Amino acid sequence: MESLIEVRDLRFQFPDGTEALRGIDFRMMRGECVILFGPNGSGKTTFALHLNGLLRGKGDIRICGMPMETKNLAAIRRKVGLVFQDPDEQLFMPTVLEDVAFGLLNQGMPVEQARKAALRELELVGMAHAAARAPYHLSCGEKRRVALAGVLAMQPEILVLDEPTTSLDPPAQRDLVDLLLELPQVKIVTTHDGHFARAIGTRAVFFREGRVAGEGGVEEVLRRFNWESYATAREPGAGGFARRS
Amino acid sequence: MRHTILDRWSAGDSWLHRRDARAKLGCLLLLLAWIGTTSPFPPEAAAGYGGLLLVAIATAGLPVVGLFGRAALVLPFTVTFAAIALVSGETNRAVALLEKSYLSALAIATVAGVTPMPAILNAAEAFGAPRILITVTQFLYRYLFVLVEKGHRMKLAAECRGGFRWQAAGGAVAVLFGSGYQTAEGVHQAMLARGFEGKVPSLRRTHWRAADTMLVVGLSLALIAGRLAWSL
Repeated sequence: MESLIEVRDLRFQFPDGTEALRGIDFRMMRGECVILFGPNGSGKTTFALHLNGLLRGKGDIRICGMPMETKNLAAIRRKVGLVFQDPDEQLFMPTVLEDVAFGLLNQGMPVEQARKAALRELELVGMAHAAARAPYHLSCGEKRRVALAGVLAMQPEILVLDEPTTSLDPPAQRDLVDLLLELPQVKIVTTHDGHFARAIGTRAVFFREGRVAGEGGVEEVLRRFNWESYATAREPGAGGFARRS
Repeated sequence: MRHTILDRWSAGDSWLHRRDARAKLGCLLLLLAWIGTTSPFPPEAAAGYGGLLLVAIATAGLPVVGLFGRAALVLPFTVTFAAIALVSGETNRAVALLEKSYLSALAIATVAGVTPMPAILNAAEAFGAPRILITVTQFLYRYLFVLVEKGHRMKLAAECRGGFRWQAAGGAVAVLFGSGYQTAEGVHQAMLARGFEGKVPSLRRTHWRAADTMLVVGLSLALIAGRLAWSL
């Protein structure tokens, strides 16, 4: 079976010396929706940023058969659409329509064609009515839809979503699930939300301290790492809120 | 984001908004040069330039009070030089300095109010401005908003915890720049992820039309006529 993403022994260290990734091996096939679970700071987002070439660590990454090299970056960024955790960082153009068209124009699409394609994607996410509005006037859920439209417009083969349900109310989360289930792309989704993961995931990977601690079915991983239990016994050395005496 | 009034104004659809950015930038440069070289600067000249700008503002449907207020931001800088001229006994020069700086700022605010920043930068590039300058300006413009937005949030947070104290302002500014830098990095990464290669593209592709020529020629004729009238 053809693998779309192949990562071998990926290591990454931040300039301050923090080791964020300590030898990640990962493979992804067509038709999959892989959920990345793990505590804050376990390396999920850092890993996601590597898939688009925004961070470059040591190790071997292949996207759709292309090695992660500078000469392949433009092509890889066309293949991998990355939706950031904070939509405010992703929406930077004066109007919603211009923001969605940003990637298309960068790909060299003619203006009129880009305008039509951007409008089409806005319709897909139910935001066509806001095309002329400034992105900063939208609600958080609307911003997330527009950010997703901006990435979908580039018609990537792989969709990477970094904690897409953050700040979304339950109806907006349901809408997002429905939308993601309709999309044909393979997906990698980092989330802490077990219900959301069950609804869309075909497989799950658990990150801990920059390593893959385990993988399997979504339910299996949630159970094995006791991820949804508030009563989880804290591991030695893990941080947490102190109790008032 | 709150500090985006110019983006809101420039998203309009008036006759001036629809003009090619190159025509508007050309007119602006012409007007600035004309204002700068008008000497002496009689009240009629100030009224004439002010009248031209009022016509432009009315045509564009921009809020007069808002624009006049923003143009006044230049005054604290020029008041110093005007005061020096005044102390030296050059009253006319001091007044002309204030008038010229204010009218120039008003002209810039008006053009910025009818032209989106990406279009202005594209026009500047068409006029031969260096690529690096254009790129730096693009990021400066984007990150300025990031900083202002962060500043607003920090002020709110401070107010929620008892109010803003000037004594803590130094530390707050350091935190503001630190966190603004992080957000700016995030914005830059999001741009790169969608294929940004140094140029912010614009959906607005205005073509040079007869109306653009009319605008440039009309302004040129008005300026020449004014100069001739005042020199008589």
